[in-house]
Amino acid sequence: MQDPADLSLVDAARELRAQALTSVALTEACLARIARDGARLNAFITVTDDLARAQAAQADRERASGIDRGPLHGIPLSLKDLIDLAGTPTTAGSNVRAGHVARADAPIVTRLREAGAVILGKTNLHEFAMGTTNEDSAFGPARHPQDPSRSPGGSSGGSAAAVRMGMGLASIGTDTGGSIRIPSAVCGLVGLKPAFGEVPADGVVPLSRSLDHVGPLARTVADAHVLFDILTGGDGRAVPGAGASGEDLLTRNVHSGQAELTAIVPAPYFLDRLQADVRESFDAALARLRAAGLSIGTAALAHAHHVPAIYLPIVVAEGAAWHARTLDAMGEAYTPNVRLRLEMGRYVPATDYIRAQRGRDVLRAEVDALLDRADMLLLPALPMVAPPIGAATVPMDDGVEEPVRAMMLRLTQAFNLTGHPAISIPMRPAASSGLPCGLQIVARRTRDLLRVARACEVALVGD
Amino acid sequence: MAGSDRAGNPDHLGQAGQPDRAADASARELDDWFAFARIDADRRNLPALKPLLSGLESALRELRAADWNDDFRAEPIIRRDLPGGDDAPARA
Repeated sequence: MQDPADLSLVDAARELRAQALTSVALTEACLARIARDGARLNAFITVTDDLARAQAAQADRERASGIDRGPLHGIPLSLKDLIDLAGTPTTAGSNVRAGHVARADAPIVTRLREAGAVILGKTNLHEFAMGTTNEDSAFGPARHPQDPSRSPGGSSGGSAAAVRMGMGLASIGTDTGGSIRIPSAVCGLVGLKPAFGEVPADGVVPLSRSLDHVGPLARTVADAHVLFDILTGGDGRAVPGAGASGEDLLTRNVHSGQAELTAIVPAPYFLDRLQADVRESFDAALARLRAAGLSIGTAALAHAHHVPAIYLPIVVAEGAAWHARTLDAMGEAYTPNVRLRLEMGRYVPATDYIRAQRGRDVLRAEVDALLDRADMLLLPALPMVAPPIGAATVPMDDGVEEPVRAMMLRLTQAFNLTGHPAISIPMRPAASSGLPCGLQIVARRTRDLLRVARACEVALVGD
Repeated sequence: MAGSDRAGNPDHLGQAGQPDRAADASARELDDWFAFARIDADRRNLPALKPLLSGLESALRELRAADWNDDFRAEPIIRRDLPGGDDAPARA
């Protein structure tokens, strides 16, 4: 019999509804995984086992009395530790926050509780979400579940390691330049960055208020869809596959090679710097999608090469503004790398910040123009597989070494700038290392994105 | 009082010879700014900040040279002459 900790959220919900599984049993299975792997992978900063057991018992009592809160009722999950959970510390992975205890739940946590979620704990992250590897955390680095000498990506690295190993069926993370999609891609998960502003970020420690997005890390597109629906105020019951509505027509057409969808691969820039394994997985994914009936072409995003220069001054200036008082009062409490990156933001002239915001307008219009012509953009989520912890550079397919941070952000940060919804779903693992790779899909609206992502998921990995 | 053309550009940018002088002034401004920033980093006992400032300086020089600074209209600038071509399908 399958360990319930390995179930998808939607499958677990079905078992719970059929009373073939209890929330207490499911939660205990996840807590057992935390006991087994949590410390080894340094995935959690705080485990709220008492809270989780109480919530699971309540979910079972409610279900026994005929109350059904929907597909999240009784499902154990985790929160990235910059999301407020009343009565627990929100460390943001930093000693700067020592002694902090959240007085109230973030609104998204209220929504999760009302939907019946079971909160297992708070996961490790790159300090203040200011990094892509999870190496700079006051609590030590989280580690990759498949190869602990490697990074699980970041900044939501603990969340990704947790979900991959059954320490909860999903996690809620944040994404300022790719921090949901990057760890999801390198750990073989589905990571959704909704459109900007769709999921409230109140009660979440900010990095860059104009770039921050909140969203789920999950095992399947349907699981991410359920969580997105609940995080945006729904109850998850209308999600195809999660309720009574079943699969939609688009997904059924994938099986017969008749998915009438159009996609654009944005090139150059986005395909210029890839590791050989990622290029091979991406090409194989495109071939499978074409076989499922997708029409796929290429087109240029004219200003894509300016993305890093637009992103950098915005993220560091907004971060520096929020951290100004603590940088002055207790700068030594930050990890050295994060402190320096935040300090850099103090040297961005206002006129250049405005030039960067103008650049965002241009990029947004260009992405909109491409999406006027196709249902989605397709590109790798990451140009590389999970890097070794401590690596400063990684080799690309031409043998040239490139900086880890720049490469990890290279394909994701554009869509934080434009605000378009983007998702990473697993592609075939890299041939030489067996490490996961992610396919990134971008669309105009999140609900449309989830629908086409589900069709792509079926085409790539089956039902 | 300075006005603007129909595209919303400040009208002084439209005068012959002015853009080059503006670019030179902008470059000198960044030279001065980052010279100050490096001294300030030393003064604040953060010498390790200086390599990061070099990266920021490069990004800002790129931003100041970007073509949208000549046309502040927030409209797409679609180029079809880039390597890689454009064989995107029409929406079904």
